[in-house]
Amino acid sequence: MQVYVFRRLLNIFPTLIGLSLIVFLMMRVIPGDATALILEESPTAVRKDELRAELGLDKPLWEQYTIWITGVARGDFWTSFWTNRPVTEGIQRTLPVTIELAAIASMVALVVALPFGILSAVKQDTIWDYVCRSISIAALSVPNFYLGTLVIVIPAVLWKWVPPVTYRPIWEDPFTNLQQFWLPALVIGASASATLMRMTRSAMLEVMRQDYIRTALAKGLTNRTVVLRHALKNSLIPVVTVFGALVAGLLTGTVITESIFNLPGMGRLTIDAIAQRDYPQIQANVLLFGLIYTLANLAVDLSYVVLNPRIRYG
Amino acid sequence: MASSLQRVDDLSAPSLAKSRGRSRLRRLLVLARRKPLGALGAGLMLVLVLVAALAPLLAPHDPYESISGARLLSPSLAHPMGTDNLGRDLLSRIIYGARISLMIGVLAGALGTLGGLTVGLISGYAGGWVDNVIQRVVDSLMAFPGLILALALVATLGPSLRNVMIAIAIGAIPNTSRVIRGAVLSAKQEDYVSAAHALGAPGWRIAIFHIVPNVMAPVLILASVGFGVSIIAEASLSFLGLGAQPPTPSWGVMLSGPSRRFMTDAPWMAIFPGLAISLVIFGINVFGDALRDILDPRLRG
Repeated sequence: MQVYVFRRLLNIFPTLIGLSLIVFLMMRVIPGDATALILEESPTAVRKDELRAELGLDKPLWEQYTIWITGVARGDFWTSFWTNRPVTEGIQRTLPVTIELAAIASMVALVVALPFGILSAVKQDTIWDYVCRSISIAALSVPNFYLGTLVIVIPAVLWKWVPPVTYRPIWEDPFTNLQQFWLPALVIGASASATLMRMTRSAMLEVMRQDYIRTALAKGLTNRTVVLRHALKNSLIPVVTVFGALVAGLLTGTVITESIFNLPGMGRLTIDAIAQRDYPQIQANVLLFGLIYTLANLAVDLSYVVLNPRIRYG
Repeated sequence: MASSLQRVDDLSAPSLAKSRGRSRLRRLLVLARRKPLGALGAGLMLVLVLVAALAPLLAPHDPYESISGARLLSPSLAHPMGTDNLGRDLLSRIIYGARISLMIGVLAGALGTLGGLTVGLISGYAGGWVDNVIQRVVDSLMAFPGLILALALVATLGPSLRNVMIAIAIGAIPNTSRVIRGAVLSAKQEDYVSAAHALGAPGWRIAIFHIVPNVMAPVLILASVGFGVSIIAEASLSFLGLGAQPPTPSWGVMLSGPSRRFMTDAPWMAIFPGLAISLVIFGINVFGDALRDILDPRLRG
């Protein structure tokens, strides 16, 4: 088991190195670099080629990459072209927002998806099932930027209420903070719960057809015990797989919701960095996203051991 | 599996075979009764195609024309969906927007699926180090968050509808190719492949004429998923200002940028374009679900 975990952790490196190469090259082929944009904003005495030299953009590509990646290996992620501060500062500032959003949204997803997914499967082809499934398909069909717009527009029109605009961290002003976060979290949570509910339902249906469920019912266990102890436990593997992918997706992809609700999270940081050609910031962010994604995958695989003792990694 | 009220096994091979003798229309009706939601989805897709094709006949106004004195009018008989901040008729813009969504869905979806099919086929059929190299690249690309990848690609190519299409298609390739590779790997084990080998068919021939037809089920399902995903992606990118540019009547553009400022005074400007997107996505979702149930019951999810 330890050997397996170790090997998987080692396997993260080739993925991340590949990712670093892809993002590095992709940024360099984007037309225009940061110097032009910086000089546009503050046309001081500095000349363009001096600035390029200062930022290290005058060197050949392979050399730029080697310098960057060896720095990263030492834990030095460079400074932002724009703020001249370490890019890790930008990440430290924005990551809590993204984590809070992802945490609330995934809790919403779990709380909604599990009970209704189970209900839908146990009462298959009844009115309960139809209602749950219709709502989940509807939730999947509404793009989150539309749902986000609606939940801002409707209260504003009906009750003249708008969520607070300036971001306040939860440790400074929890009340304002939660007022800001509950709507976006619900918006993201809606599609996440729909996906998770559909998976819970189909996994439960699959398990409910198994012989051991019939046996459990035949020996007189209550429906409740059979559903929760026997069926749910055995249907968790696909559910956890989807949940892992969802959480990774939430941590790396709430760009649109963040910009609608004006929350300074990682997604916003990344699109701004792309717009400003802030290479070090983009590269660091994408590496972090890749790390989150690979670690989430690993966590999912390891959870299989707990969920199904027959699975062993050796 | 969220498509129909019927059990999947009702559509098992014998019942399909039985209806084979009847007229084609009859068979469609049988399908529609067994998969009412799927039929509804197909109906919505048909409406989308018709609206897109007949846009000049259906639209009461020119989608680009600012009607003087008609700014921010609420829905009325003259303007069933109201007008926007520039005095353009929203209904007409939404009707023309159907063309953009349909084009993006079909072209980006098809390009992405085709790309994924090519990469997946090469990777799965070649095997060995080729497979290994391709899969490691796919690994890295899958760790790249989808929307960020599309954003970076659009930044590289420049914001326009055509480039958004390319970016969306490229973004779809890693995932699609992974699924197809799996299907190719299992098709490769089949006897007909060995038989073709024994007859001396060259590798490319086996891949194209024997394997591709046998992985069509996942390909069709992926294409239907790709259609919906592409429409959402185009709307999202346009919403962020990176896709179609104003005054193009793309549904994403209509929900974005300058028009957002007027949304509390003129909520119809936000409500109708979003409704159009949601209806189309709903249609393709339920249609895709039905397709999946029919073509490959194992892929239910």
